[in-house]
Amino acid sequence: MFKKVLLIVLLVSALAACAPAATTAPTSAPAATTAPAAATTAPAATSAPAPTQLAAQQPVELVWSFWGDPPEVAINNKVIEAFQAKNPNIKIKTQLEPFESYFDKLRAQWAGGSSPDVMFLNSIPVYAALGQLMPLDDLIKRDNFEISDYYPGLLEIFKYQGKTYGLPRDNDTQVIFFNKDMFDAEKVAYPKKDWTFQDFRDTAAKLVKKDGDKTSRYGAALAMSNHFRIWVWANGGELYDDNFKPTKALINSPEAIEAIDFLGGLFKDKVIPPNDQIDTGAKRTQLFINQQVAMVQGNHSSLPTYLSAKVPFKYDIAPMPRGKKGGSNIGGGAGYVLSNKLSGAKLDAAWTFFKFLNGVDGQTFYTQNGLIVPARRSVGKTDVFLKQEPSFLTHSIFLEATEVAHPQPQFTKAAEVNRAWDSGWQEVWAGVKDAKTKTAELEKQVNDILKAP
Amino acid sequence: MATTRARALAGTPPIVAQRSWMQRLRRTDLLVALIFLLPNLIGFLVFTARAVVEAFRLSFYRADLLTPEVWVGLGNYERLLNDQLFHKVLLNTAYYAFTSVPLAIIVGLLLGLAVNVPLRGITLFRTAYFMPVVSSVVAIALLWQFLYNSDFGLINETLRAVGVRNPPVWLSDPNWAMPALILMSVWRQGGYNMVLFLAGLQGIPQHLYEAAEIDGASRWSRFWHITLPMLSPTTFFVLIISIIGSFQVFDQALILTNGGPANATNTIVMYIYNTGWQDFKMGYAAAIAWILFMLLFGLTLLQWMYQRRWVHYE
Repeated sequence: MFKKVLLIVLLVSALAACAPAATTAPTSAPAATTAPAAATTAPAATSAPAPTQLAAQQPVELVWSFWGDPPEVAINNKVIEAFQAKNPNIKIKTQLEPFESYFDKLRAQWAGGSSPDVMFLNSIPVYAALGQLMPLDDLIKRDNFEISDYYPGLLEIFKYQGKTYGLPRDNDTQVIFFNKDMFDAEKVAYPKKDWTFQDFRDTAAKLVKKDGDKTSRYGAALAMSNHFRIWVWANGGELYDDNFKPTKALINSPEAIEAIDFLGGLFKDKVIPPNDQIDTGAKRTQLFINQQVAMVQGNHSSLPTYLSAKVPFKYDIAPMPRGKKGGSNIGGGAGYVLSNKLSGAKLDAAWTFFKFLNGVDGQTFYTQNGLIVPARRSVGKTDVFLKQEPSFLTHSIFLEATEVAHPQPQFTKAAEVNRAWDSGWQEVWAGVKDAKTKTAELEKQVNDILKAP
Repeated sequence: MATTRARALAGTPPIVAQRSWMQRLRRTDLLVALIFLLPNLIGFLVFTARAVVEAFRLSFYRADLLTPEVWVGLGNYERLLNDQLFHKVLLNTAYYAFTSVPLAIIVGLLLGLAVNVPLRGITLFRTAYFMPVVSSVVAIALLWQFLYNSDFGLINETLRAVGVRNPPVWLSDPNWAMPALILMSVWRQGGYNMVLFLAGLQGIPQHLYEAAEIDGASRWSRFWHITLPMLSPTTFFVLIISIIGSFQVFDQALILTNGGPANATNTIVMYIYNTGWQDFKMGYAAAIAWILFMLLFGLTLLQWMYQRRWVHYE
């Protein structure tokens, strides 16, 4: 009998030992919403009886969380140095976490009742809805902190229910990089600033190279998963009735179907590579460096890669092609937010640091290193941005492209809905379903997700 | 620890009763076994059993770990009945498991037989076939992405060279992505199974073969009547481990195809991961995890029940 029991226990443990980690979960929901502001006693408040001590002289320690590759982390450390030189009483500790696990870690910290004080974050409306972020309107107003300088499409995704919860650092502005040498060799005209969908297709098709049955060079590599929407917007389509509180999908419109059909046609006629070859930024960048595509969609952060790879050809950038409605782009970058748990001297210190990060000084730091399209217009218009390496590139195109940025929809179910879009369109990209059928199917599928509790 | 548990089990405090109980324990060797198992058992109870029970509780709630949980009763399980994506990942996983497991067992057995010869330098081959097992899944999946590249990949270059004009677009084609994933897994799992079969083969007493040879048995009948039956405990072990492992397939699919195209390689565990950690529907994810657990438990139990028919212990 005992042996049998033992055997079953062993068997269960063998089964469970390899069970997915997803089942481990904290026991109870934290009282996130009830966390009283007074809970965090600021050092200044406790030392109040000592009359000679000024609050400002008390050293305050802040935790700043972010993700980033080593070059970006190096910039962050420089920012801390510059800030602490000006504010010796504020000590900044960092919490570095890779992008893949960054948001899980924050969730776990919040669930445990703690939080970094200043956070680098995206999808602000989602986290604001969870009650973890500090509304900043009063502080901005109190200090007359200049925010009219920001691109409006970028500022909008840092708002939730009319309140501002953070400020953008940069934008994921998409452009088309093109290999000038290939254009010259094939005697194809360079893209114009106002080129259309059809111009894009014609240009790309001329640059395709066949080698018997196989395609040895494609016209362009596009980013489909998140950026199909740029084409939909440019053509006058919309995804949802509301970008931040969607109640239904609006994808089943003639404009959107036309845009999707256009993209499907590029795959079908092998103007662009099959989707599995272009579904990550790294793959697309590599195709461009290896000269296996003549054009590639990318953002500013691919420039350091091309510079360090010392690509042996000349290249420049063009805006995303115009659809029926005009030019479009995506407004979706990350930025800084403050924890809702801050108060007293700690809040003052965090706000001081926040202003430094988002002020012209902070923005200039990141711009200098060639990583970003700054979210402040004024910084973009300086030589720091316009005259950066590579000097032959028309950097101002990034700024013009950002002006037409459409705010990226952000809501609690965005991740789930985005996966539905992505896997749904893959049937069109693979030629298994036509744009019209799939669009109708997806509209229903997304509506079901939005309606579910 | 063990004493307190024994006392608790005995119920009443009298020392005499306890001693006799412990004597009985010692007789059955259970105490010794328990002491040896204790470190593992404690770890299992604290880190696994508790989580499994907690997941079971969670599967009756709508929970995102931050806002208060909402009791939904059997709601999560009811939703699974109409969740088309869940049905798809269930079928995908079954397709993967019931194709890759037999293939990997056959490949493993053939490899095991091939390297079970006393040749100089045979360990080199054994190591080579085992390499994929000890290599990182990420590296392997990236390597196979190159192999499956529809224009420049080695596989399609070869197919074109032998006259196939339009070879598959492997990872972008919803019909070919799953076979591509299975092929990669068989290549990897084959080496692991090889080592297990090799150990099994070397445990077969030589005198059986000698006796059979004297009786004039052919090579084939020696394989069929001695090798295969003598290997059946190994085969059984490999089968159980492989079925459990293949129903939990996740990392290969995540890196090779990220579940695509059009969910063609989306699996149960990937769905649990996405539901729990991307969408933060922890209750729903827990419900799916429990279905997977029951499924594996049932399958394993079934295999235990049927082993008597074909597994021969010496």
